Amino acid sequence: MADATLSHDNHHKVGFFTRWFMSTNHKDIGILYIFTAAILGFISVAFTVYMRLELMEPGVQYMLLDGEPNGHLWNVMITGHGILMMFFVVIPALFGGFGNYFMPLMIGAPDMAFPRMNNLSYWLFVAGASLAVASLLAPGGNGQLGSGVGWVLYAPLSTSEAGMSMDLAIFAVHLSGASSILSAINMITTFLNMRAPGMSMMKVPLFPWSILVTAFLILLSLPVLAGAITMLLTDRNFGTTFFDAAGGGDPVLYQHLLWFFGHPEVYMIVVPGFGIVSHVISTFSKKPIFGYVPMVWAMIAIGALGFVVWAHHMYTVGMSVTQQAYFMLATMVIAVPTGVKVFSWIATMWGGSIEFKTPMLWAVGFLFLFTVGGVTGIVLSQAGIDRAYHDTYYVVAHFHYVMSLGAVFCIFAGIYYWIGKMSGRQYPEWAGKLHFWAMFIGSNITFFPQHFLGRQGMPRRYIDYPEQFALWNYVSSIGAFISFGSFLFFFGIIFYTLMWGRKVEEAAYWGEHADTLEWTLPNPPPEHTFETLPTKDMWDKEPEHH
Amino acid sequence: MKESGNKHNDFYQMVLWPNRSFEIKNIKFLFGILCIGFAVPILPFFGSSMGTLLLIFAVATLIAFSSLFIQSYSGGNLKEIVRIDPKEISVTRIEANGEKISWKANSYWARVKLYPDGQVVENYLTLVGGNREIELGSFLSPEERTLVRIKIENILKKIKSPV
Repeated sequence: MADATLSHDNHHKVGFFTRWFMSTNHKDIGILYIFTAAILGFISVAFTVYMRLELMEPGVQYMLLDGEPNGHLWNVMITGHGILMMFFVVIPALFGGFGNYFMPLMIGAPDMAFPRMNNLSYWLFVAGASLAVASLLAPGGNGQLGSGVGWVLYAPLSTSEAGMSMDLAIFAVHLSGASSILSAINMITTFLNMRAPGMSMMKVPLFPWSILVTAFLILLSLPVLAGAITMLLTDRNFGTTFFDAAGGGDPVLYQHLLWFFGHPEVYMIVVPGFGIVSHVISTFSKKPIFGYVPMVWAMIAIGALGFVVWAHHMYTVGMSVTQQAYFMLATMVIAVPTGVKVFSWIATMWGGSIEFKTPMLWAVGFLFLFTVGGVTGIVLSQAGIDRAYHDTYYVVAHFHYVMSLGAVFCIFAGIYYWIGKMSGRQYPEWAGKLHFWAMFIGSNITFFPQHFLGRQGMPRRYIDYPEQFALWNYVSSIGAFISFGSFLFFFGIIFYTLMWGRKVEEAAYWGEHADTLEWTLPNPPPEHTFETLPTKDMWDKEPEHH
Repeated sequence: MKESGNKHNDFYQMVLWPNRSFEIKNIKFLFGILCIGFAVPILPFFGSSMGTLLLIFAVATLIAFSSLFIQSYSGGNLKEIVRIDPKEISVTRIEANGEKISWKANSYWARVKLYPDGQVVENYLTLVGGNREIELGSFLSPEERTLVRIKIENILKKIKSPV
């Protein structure tokens, strides 16, 4: 029996090292994820700037070795950009960063279910990211540094690439996977076991729902990737032939396994963004979200369908017509729940008193660009059309509209929406808007012309191209430089905000329609939150808004 | 909170437990979904060395999830049973791991105290008696602790003035 502890003070001050290196606090770990993802994002984006610089003119001007074009370096840049972005930037920022920080707050939980495991997940992610960066600098193929096999690590390229760089990249993905699986277990357990009293599943805000769906996608698909890359590792180092036709294996099987993970990966990246955008649009339209229940089911449906469409990434490997027909139809079905979401966001704005503050600009930008990417996705889902577009810049444009413009815009929407809550200081509104417009214009100039290049037949993953593709490559590179400039400006905004930004005292500083539980807390929230569980009147605000 | 007594009303019992949002009846549904999800990519390779390798990763993930989820759920198995009869008031705390700790005092002298200023948590509730002051329902909401105090106080009042 616990004796009463009336004079006990359990709120002690922790030092810098303890707070940031040994933290088990979900808010601190969320911030760590966001900052680490930002650093890795900068490295990854720098690679693309270098690549766009090279592609600005026909011929090879910058990536040279002894005066000759260095295709290996180009391949390493492509691979590094893909691996960092797919595994170490977007998912860690959205799922690890915002998920850790805001999911427990929004459901009224005092912390994650397993705080120490949360710390372990973060440091596994850092270890994985370090290996990924190390793989760029370790001895690789063609007697040079780094591996140039593409982020998908297709066999037989990945099984025959020389040097330890490839092995480091595989271990990097392994560690990232372990980190994500532990995070997913933590998120699911927290969501299911630790919701505030009375908060039934269909009362949970959309962002925590998006995190739950993402966590299930991670839990079910990452073990398959882990198995597949372990087979790559044994093929490389222990003489197995899982993916080697000479030994009875099949390289196409690797593609099936990779894409069984890889397609859900797209939704792992973008579904948390759906959650953020739902809150932002509702807040700045001053209306509750339209069609909450269909929005939840649409996310679940997108997650479930995401598992049964993987082979649309590989129509050209020699599948039967029946298989292609199935994957085509299944892929097109995803447009239905996605449409439910897009139209629900539009309906939320419809008749609302819309205020175009910076987070809303990013959310509306996302809505437009994600829809463009979604529509080109439907084009690519047609197996016949895909014959022409496969491995062209049309595909590059499509997935960058979905992920680079879609998911990344969600990250920025989330940062501008919550930075005042997380730091206690607010960014200058003009600067946020300037960042948005520069990025919106720059990224569209970068990626929209790539549709034209794809239609002209320009293949992806090449260091050089003929004269005929010069114009749109030049335009695309100009767009990339504008986008990169806006990205640097963003770092300046964050630095300024954290150092000198205006202090925000009001808890719900975006107004009464920012009505989830994090908006009941001070800016920034105290170290320990919801030790006393929140009551229904604190989170069930919707009736007042009708 | 669940209250009970016998038909002669000579004892009163109250069971307190922390909030748990997951209903255990849904556990079959949860694990059913997970098992189907894990089976889909493995079934085509079942019996091959590739299938075995994929199975190892899937089973490891499933074991990690189920053991951690059940551990977290069991953490909420905590209960406090307050039993009051004319002679004795007792509190038995059953920890998540099944360990029992109990406290007893004479019901006539026992007192229930509420500290509204939140020295530890808001509406901190204690029972005083038998030379000890013990906390009660620290896992409840402040409103629930107020309710528990009122109920226990009423029962103790009846015992002290039986007419």
